[in-house]
Amino acid sequence: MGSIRNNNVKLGLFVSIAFLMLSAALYFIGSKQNLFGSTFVLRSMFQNVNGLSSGNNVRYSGINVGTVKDIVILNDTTIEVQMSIQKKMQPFMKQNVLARIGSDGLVGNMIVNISPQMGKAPLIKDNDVIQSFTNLETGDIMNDLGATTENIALLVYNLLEITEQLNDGSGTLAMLIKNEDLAKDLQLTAHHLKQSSQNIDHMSNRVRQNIEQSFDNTSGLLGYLLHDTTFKNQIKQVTDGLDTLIRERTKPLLTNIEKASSEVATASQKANEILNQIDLDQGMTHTILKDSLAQSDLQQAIHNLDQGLLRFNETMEALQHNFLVRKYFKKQEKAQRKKSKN
Amino acid sequence: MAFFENIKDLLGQIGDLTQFALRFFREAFRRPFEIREFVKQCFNIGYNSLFLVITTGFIMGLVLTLQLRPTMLDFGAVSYMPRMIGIAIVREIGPMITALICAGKIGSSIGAELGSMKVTEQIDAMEVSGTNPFKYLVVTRIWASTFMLPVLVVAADAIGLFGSFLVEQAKGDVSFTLYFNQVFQALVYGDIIPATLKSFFFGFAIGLVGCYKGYYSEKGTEGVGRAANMAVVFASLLVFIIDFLAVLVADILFEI
Repeated sequence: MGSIRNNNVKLGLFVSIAFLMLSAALYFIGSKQNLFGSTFVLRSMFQNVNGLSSGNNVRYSGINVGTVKDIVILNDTTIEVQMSIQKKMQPFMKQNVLARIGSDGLVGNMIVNISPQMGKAPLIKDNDVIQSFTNLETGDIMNDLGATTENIALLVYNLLEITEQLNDGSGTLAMLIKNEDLAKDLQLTAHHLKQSSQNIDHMSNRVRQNIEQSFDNTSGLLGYLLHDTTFKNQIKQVTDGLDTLIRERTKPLLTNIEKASSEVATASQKANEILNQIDLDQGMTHTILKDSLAQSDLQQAIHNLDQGLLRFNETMEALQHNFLVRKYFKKQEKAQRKKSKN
Repeated sequence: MAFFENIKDLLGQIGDLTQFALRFFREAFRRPFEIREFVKQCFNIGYNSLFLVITTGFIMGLVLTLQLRPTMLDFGAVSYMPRMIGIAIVREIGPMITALICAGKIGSSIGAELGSMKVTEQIDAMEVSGTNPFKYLVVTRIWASTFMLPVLVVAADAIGLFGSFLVEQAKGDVSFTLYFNQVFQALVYGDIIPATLKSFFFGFAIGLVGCYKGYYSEKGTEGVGRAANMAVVFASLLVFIIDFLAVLVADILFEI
């Protein structure tokens, strides 16, 4: 009998432990779905719930606080999502909270994220409707992306044209890039600029020093001007004297000047006439023709110029056949032909 | 011809088994109840299988985690291990492993026990002495296996999850709280209720087949061996068929 009783105790223990485990498992699963413990209901209206289904988690600032209880379609643009939220979260939620549907990770379940907002608002009550925010859909993002890529394509096309022109060697930019002589010149210029700016700097320094010296030095002219007080009085006397002198002496002078100016006016008129005549006589040529020495010099110079131009023409001809610039001349020729046709 | 004979034999056995099950239901709810014998059988079937079930469950959890972990690591989804193992063990592996182990242990022991009783004509003697042998031997055993198997499944689930947790802690530094939080985060009633219900059916099938094979075993010591062997084979097969049906039904009811 003892052994049977013993066996029964073992059996009882085994069965009770298993039942405890099962009930614990059931409780944990149930508490996750808010089946136990008091809850309250929040509602929110969405245009699109993105596959949310009842039983999905609801998070408040990232904490799991409840589940989606039910999803009811009210009309074609309004879907009501009812959420059961733990009662203990009620003191922490204000009426201006914002509900947003998101997903838990990249491929996770859909969840409702409730986030607190700035500002004052009364605490939330059972059955309150809270604000919602519908996320951008993938389709909308794709549409935006389409317009952007079109713009990018246009931009690339323009860039292509510019780079082609650069490669052809036409335009200022191409010259800047391709012409080595220009680059050397620019370098030299920059060098000179640098030097001259250095010189200017040096010079201004010296000027400053000089001025400063003469300011400080009382024996110098400037120093005397600035520092001597008797000089000021003397100047005053002199200016007073000058004043009276001018007043007395300038009167007849002014009348003379007036007279003289009228004469000058007539004289200038005459001069004008003479100049006009010279103009009509083709100025220079007249004098040159009279001077035999100048004539031969000029002839020599013209001859030299002629030779120079001939050589220049040859060089240009050669340049025209250079592959770098050939295209440009061809283009010009074409334009010329077109113009003559027109 | 032998093929058709075999089919006919099989169909005949299924018919016999159904008759046997119906007889069980007729007798099961009618007084007198053999409570003492039922408890004794519970001890035999439940408690005595516990060690075997716990060992296999523990090793299963351990091995499953060790095998799956490298693959999950490749996908960078190693943090999903507890959820995955939790669902796998609770939904399928726990009940199936337990049922198959019990089909081997309980099915064969019932088959052999009843077979030898039949062979040594103890069952006939019982009938003569006025005790209902079906009630005393069959009903108690089937009830015991029906009620004990879910309990064993719970034990196997728990120990299997614990084994898996040990691996996770050793390899991934997952704490006990985090592991079981994640397991229960993944589990829903739709996982645990069908699994528990189906283990009742597993227990019933194992007890039924064991008793049937033993009760109708042929004469001779050879018949006893055959009864034990056939009990295991039929019970295992039936466990798989029931599992398939249970998954279909659970899919409809719980929409997973």
